[in-house]
Amino acid sequence: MCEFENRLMAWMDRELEPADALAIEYHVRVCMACSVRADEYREISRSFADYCGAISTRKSSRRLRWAVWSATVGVAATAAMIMLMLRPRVEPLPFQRPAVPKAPAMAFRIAPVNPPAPVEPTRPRPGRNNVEVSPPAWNLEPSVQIAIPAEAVFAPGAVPLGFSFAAELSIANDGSARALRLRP
Amino acid sequence: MSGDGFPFALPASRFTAVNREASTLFEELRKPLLRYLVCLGLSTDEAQDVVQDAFLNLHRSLAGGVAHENARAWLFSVAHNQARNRQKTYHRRFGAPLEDGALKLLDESTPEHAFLKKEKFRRLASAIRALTEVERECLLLRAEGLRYREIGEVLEMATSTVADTVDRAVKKLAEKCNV
Repeated sequence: MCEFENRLMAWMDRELEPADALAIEYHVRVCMACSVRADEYREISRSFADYCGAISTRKSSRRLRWAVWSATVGVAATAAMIMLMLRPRVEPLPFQRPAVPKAPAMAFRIAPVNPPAPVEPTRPRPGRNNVEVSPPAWNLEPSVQIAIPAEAVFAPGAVPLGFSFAAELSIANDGSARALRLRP
Repeated sequence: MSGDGFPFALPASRFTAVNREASTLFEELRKPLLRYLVCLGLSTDEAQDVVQDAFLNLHRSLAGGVAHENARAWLFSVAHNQARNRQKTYHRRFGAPLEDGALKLLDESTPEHAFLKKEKFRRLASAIRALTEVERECLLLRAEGLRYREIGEVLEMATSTVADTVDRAVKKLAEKCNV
């Protein structure tokens, strides 16, 4: 065992007098065993400091995790309480039978049919393909006017109140509808 | 300048000087004190309480005109004594091996490095547990940068005894850890 070995730590920690420190420094340069020891002590000192840092970091991170978890639970509980307190109270409404809409009033009116204007017979001209053109049959049929309230056709509010439509229906000879014209 | 204002000028300037000195020491020594107390085995909350009390005592003593030759050693001494009063069995907690979650915080580049560090810490924790209480405290205070003389003030030991204790403790660790 080297005589300087017991003072290696004090030398490394700069706790020796300058003259003693100089002597050990010179010795460590020439003594392989003391040089190796000094490296070992440096390494163990560094590991010890790392370990202390890891211990304090571990406790801090635990505390941080606990703080984050507590804050999350607290915020969630508070939000739930606020939602419960602010929730609108639902009260059952009295049952009301839905109003049955009245059938829309419709008015039927047989519109006077204007007699067709007299058609003057055309004189046949020689050299032409003379075809007698008869007036349109629908014009001769009596038409029917139907007043339809707007509420019966459109959604409430879509059309001003009291607005109605008039439908003119032309009926052919065989009873079928020939034409239907809707006007306001 | 009126004569009434002069007596109040001195306490105000002294108060400012005390505050400045205490703030400087707080910035410099707060983290080392916290680390030392946490490594002794106190929880983070307990350590923060102890550090706060220590600085409060320092501020009071400075404001009371007490001059501290070595404020760092004085603060560590106060914190050490308070920690002893709070937790008589803290030495049992220091030296407990770190769990995997804490080792992830070491920011090792590869899993192999992390594994090696874990093994090294496991051996080191086992070696630390084998140390005496005084040896552990000496090493902790030394790791926080205290001189042997300051460690002696904190632990109420002679400087030569501190040197012997540190030397013995490091040799024990080196022997157990097979460095």
